[in-house]
Amino acid sequence: MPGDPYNYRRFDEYVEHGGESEEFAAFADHLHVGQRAWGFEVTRVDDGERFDIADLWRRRDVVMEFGSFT
Amino acid sequence: MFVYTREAHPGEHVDAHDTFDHKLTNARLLRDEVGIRRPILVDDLDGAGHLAYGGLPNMTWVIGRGGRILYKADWTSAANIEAFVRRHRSARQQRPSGGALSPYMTEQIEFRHVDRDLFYAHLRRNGPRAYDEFRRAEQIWASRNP
Repeated sequence: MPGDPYNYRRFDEYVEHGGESEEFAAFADHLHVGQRAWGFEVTRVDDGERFDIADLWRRRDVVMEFGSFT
Repeated sequence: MFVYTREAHPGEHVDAHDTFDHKLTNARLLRDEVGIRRPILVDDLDGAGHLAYGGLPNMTWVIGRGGRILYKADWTSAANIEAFVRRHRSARQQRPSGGALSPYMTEQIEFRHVDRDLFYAHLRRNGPRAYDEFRRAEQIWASRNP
């Protein structure tokens, strides 16, 4: 797929090239409950602070929803 | 909290991110236009965190204190998550006297209600091509499942 494969510009091409179906099919076998969660760098929108998201679950349970405006 | 990912359905008005600042701007739309009040945390431009957890457009994970994965879902249902969290916390708080708590795992099929008309309206908000491309994707899915 031309361009940035992660930030696809056309949803229909992303589907046509199989990206969407591959990701949904892989999810069940991708990281399991009981395993350790991975941290990653994030930027908080409200104040621009950058930190490792794993810092949040060192002290409490965390519900982590992924999504976008669209 | 909410982790901001790539745009699932980019369009003329809300397009795919080409810089991190662009991604931050779109994340602020979620806060200011949709009214999300939870902390919104933005993943890097290449989606390293999003892909590490599966790359799906609206998945939810519950991570227990200390970093153990307690729950994963390939779509988000607030009711389902709330019920799980309530049940999980209640079980941990009600330790049986003289006994022990032993965790076990399940896999489940759940259902979510899809308001197609509302979803199409949201696509049009993103831009005309977001709607057109989704309708074309529907044709692609239909051709794969005759």
